[in-house]
Amino acid sequence: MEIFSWILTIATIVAIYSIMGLALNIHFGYTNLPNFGIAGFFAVGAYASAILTAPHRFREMEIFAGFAGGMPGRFEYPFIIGFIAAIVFAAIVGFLIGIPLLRLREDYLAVASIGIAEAIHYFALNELWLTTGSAGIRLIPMPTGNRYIFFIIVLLILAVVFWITQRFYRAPVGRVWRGVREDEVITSSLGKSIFNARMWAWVVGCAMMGAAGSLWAHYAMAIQPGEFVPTTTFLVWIFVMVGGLRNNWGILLGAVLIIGFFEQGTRFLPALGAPYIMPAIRHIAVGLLLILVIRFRPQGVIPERAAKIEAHI
Amino acid sequence: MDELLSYGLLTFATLALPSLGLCLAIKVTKYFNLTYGDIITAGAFLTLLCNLTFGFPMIISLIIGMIFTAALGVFLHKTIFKPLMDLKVNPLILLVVSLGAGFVVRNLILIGWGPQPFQFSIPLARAKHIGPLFLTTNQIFIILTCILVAVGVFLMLRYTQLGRLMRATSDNPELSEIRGISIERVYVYTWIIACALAAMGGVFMGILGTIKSGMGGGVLVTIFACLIVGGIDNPYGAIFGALIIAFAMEATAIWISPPYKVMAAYLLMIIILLVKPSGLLGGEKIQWKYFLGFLRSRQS
Amino acid sequence: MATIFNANDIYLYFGGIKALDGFSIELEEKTITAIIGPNGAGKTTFFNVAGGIYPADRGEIYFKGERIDGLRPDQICLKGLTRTFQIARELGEMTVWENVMLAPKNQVGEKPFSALLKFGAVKSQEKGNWQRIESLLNDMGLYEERNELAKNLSAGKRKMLEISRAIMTEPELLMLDEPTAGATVDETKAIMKAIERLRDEKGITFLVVEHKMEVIMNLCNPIYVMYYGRNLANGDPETIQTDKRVLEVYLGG
Repeated sequence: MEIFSWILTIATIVAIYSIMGLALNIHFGYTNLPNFGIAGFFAVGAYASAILTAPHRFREMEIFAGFAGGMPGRFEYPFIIGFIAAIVFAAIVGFLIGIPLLRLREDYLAVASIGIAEAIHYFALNELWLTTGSAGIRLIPMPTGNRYIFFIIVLLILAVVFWITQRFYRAPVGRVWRGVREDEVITSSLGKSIFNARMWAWVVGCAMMGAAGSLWAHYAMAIQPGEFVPTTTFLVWIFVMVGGLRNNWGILLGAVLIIGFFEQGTRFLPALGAPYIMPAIRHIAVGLLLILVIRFRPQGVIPERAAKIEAHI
Repeated sequence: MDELLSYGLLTFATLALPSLGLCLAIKVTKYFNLTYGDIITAGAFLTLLCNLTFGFPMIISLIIGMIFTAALGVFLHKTIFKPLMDLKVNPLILLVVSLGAGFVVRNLILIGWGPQPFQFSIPLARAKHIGPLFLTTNQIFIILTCILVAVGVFLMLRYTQLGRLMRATSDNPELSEIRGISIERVYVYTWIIACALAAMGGVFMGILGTIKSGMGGGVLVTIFACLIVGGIDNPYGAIFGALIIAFAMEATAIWISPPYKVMAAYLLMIIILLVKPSGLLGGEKIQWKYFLGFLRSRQS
Repeated sequence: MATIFNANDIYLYFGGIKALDGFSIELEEKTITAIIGPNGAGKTTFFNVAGGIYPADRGEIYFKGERIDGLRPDQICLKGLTRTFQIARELGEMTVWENVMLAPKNQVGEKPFSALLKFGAVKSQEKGNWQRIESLLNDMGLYEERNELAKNLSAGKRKMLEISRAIMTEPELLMLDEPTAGATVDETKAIMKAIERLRDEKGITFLVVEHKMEVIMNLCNPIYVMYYGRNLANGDPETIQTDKRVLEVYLGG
């Protein structure tokens, strides 16, 4: 039935975005590292997975082969290879970017991170030999070819990521990260290396974003640079802040609310005029929602909850 | 080489005023505002409104556009940023909200005008020789106006009372408050100036290129690069940074490849952040996190 | 008795101001040394330099025979030197128990992979740490508030939290910046007792910045007097009490 198909689509997208939301929580919620380059790591994961799993030859490549003087074929490895590669490459890119950026004070880090996604976007657009430029990569195989089964796979991965994020919170590493967030002077004076803590949080979060990217590539089965835009980054920020920064359940809720209803739900309302109007209205709506939520309930719908020691031990 | 000079100057002319404006806004209000890029876009479109829709000549349109843009900026400040600042939220939250506000502005413009690129209705430009350069009258106008306005702003900062108030507030907000200066008023005036400068930058960009709803957002990173390279706490640094970034970008376009222009700006910014994070003309080391252990030598 | 810590001729300039003007100090193992002096004398500044918050412009600092000036705060802490802060800083959005659980050094699970993979080790470590923290919190009068967010504590309790954290790092040298500031008479006595007990049972050396005379005279020996970033005098309590320069500058005058 069509409605199930539509629900499945939304659910898959919500699940994939949730992974990015949890990753942002590790960056910003736990460790106070504002990452405005989320779309960039998402793209790295998507492209890594796509390049490794797409079929050996397809039409766009032949066309571009003429321009670029011959191109390598794609590798047609199974999904699992693509997925792991996505995580690894996103982590590596995150690490390299982190070396200069993580020494900065948070607001400068925020500004500098805006350029990350742009840089990666440029790279994807211009390095035709690797990414086929604006034509993107098509025919990315969905594992098992069955959308329902793929959704279960995505859900499982989301569950694992959720468990990992929760585990970090209660573990010593989560306390170190939150200590970095609260007061670096103290945390440093207690013997924890601030840069190392930041770098770990950063790399882990970027790896998760890469994982989300891989899932996206296999879900959409075709990717092109124009998909990985600042809007993606911004949507993640919005649902994380609305749902409740630092609280992983809140983030899931935020993903369902924002991504579920705004991004996909309004697609079924009548289009009010030219095709660019409805998306713009949706974006204004989420932007306003963010402003209102931060103004009137800055802790989000589900705020962070203090843990009791008795529950912990 | 002449190409470099003329393109460099033109890019500088579009970047200099917004950089100066943002520098002042950040220095005085002490928070980063990421709506600025979309305010630049708004400036261009509001001027476009006067120019194309109402049919005013360009100069008048520019002035009215600046006024409208300043009004927009003050509106955003009063409704969104001031309440949050009063609540003393984490400045990063303010940053996220400012991105949100920019988002809304950008999409409103998109709804109002559509996604296609626009051009100002200005008389056809004639090219003239000025020394080694070959520029159109429009381009000459832009460069001259930019220089004049920049000089005007510096004179204002140095010699007028508003300038003194702005400097006092940026150096020591608590002391200024005690002395009876209304901080909020100074913020508003600073923001008005910053938005007017943004509008000019947007109009210059529109004259030299096209006007699209994403134009300001795209240039925001470049402007931050100008500020960081020049020194974020120094208005002269903003101009100096714009000069360096502009020429670096055009040199990259000429000798390496045009699409990588913006990457050159970004790369320069990263390099400066690694090597001299307070910027070439900047003062204290405000961007570093000290406890990351890369600061072994003495503080300045 | 062996010297555990010494700072030689520390100079620090802030713009044109000489915050530290050739200050020197030597600490012997298992002693409780005090630094006293008028406000602005540079006591906290010295703590900041010794703790690695900023580097001195001139001078060397040795701890257990190694040079530590120029190291980062976390490196200095790992070597066994912990300091507290004059204005108690707390990790506000974390609970009291989380604040103190953060303190032990080099815990298993402080890196993401070990947090995920070394379940058993982390769990038993947390249990062990909590047992010790429980009794510490009891001594410090913080047990009731163990599940409270640190930002909700009163100023006095925050100070106790600060000290508890420092103690949990199991230092060999503990530098306390005004540990009894804002504390009630009972709390002050409790802190003094705790310091003595830690010195006797765990062999911790103490360096204390203090203003309260009863604490200084009854607990600390030797006493260093600091004035405008320089040494003014140092010696045992009787000597200091009767030193003319000290009396002029600080105690009586």
